Amino acid sequence: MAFYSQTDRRFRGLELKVGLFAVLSIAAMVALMAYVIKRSDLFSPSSSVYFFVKSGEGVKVGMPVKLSGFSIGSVLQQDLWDMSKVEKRHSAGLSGLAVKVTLDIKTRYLEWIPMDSNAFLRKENVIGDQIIEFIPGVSHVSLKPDEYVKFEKEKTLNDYFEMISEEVKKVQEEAAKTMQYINDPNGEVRKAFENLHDFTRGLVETREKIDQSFITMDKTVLNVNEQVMQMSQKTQKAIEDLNKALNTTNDALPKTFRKIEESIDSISNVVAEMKKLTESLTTDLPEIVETGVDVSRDADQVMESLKKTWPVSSNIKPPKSAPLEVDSYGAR
Amino acid sequence: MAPGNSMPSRWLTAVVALLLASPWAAMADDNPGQNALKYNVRGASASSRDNHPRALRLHEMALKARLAADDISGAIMELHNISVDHLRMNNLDASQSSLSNAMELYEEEARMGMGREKEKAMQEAMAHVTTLKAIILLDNGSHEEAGKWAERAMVYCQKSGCIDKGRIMNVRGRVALAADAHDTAETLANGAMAENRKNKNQVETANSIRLLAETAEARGEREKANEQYQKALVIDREEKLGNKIAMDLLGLARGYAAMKDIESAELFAKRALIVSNAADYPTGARSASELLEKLRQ
Repeated sequence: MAFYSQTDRRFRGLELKVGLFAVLSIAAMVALMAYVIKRSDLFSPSSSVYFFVKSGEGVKVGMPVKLSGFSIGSVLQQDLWDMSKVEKRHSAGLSGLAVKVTLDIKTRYLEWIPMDSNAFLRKENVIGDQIIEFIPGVSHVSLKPDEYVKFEKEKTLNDYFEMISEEVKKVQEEAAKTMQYINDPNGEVRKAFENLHDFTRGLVETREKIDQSFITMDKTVLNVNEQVMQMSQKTQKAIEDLNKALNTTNDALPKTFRKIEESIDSISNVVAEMKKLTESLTTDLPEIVETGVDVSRDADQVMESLKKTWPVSSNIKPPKSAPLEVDSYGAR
Repeated sequence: MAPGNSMPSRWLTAVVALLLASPWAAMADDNPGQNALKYNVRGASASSRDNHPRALRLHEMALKARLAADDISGAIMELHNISVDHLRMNNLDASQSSLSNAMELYEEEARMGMGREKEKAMQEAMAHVTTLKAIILLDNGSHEEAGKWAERAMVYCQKSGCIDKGRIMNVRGRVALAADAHDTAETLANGAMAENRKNKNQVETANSIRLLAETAEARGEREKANEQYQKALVIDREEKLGNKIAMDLLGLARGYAAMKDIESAELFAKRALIVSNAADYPTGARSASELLEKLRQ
């Protein structure tokens, strides 16, 4: 080495350079590992919760557990379990042998899962992987570590096919019954078809009869036409007679109308005269009434004065205003 | 002067001319006071002929003339007359309203202060108003209220020295009878009879006697009651007052019925029915029919 360092400048301080490179590499590796560990959440504290299923089909260890589409843990383990040892409220109605599935949930997420939440086994997409998803409940109390959660299995395509198959079977049975009913030789449908056949045959006979009737009608119409012609001639004659009568009336009517017009003119004249008279009275009447009042007042004054004149006044008591007499036994 | 006229004929012409001119000289002035008097007298005349709508119209004109002349006592009297006219046309509300107006007018005038003569005239008018109020209340069954108004009427009457005391005493007697105070009713009826005889008011005298008869009837003194009814009947027949005659006849019929003289009772009841129908007195006709029905059973 000393030889190389003497002959080639690049080998000077090579030990130091290699040592520095090794230290930096180790430091970078440690930093990378620390970063990876931190990102992978490997050492964050987690808690277990569990549920029971009849069959562990579809559930796999390591399967992701999600809440609102966000990964909060994974399936930790599956064990066969004797349900007789399980409390009834946690047994999910299962008896005998079942599978206990333990989920590993990051402890910090437990506070977001209400106690009455349900865990579902479902496919992430139509063709995606299966996951376990929590549907949050409404309780204000959060899920605690090592607690039981309810579990429901989402219906798979097979389940739907089975349901459809059941429905189709029912429809097939109904269709078979209907066909049997239609094909029954003593059934109502067959009889209805037979009746329809008879009716169609009858229609042909009816049509022949109608054709004959039309021929007879043609003859009758010809007879009627002749009779109508005869009647028409008679009517023509009657109309001529009526025309003659109307001509006579036409001569007489204008004279009558002229007389009526004359009468109406006379009435109009009378009405006009009456109108003039009324107008005249409307003007004169108030004057007549006023004059009457004046005359009455004058007469009144003459009478009053006469009453006060001797010797008439000696026989007349002076008038005195007095209240009307009211009887103590009822004023009416 | 025409030639040939003698001296006596000239004098005669002058006297005739003077006589003819004198009415014009004495012609009445067309002032509100005289108009009021004229309308009042004509209203009284219309009322006596039972032409109550005309009487009302004339009394309203009289009231207007009284107010135009600032004659408040006269106006109160006209309001009284208007009230009577409304009452006789069976318009009780309007009648009461007129009386209220009269009282209001009196109170306003009293607040303003009035002379002694004017006060006397006002109190005399108010005596009539309050008596009418008492009679209306009594006819409508409010005898306690009627008693209070009759007392007020008596006070006004005494202050003004009126001659209508007997009528007011009759009203008070009726009030006492309605309250079953028989002794008071009898005392008041006797006092009223004396007053009315003194004032030669035949109608109110008959009313006093009838009140005595009714008091005796209420006490169960049938014979005494019938005796008084007979006396009242005599006066009412003289005065030709149909409804009063019917009241007397009904009283007699009730008296005979109570004394088990059914035949006489039926006779008087029938007569009462005939008189009531003829006098347009439906209350009497109804009472007579009911009594006849009872007697027939």
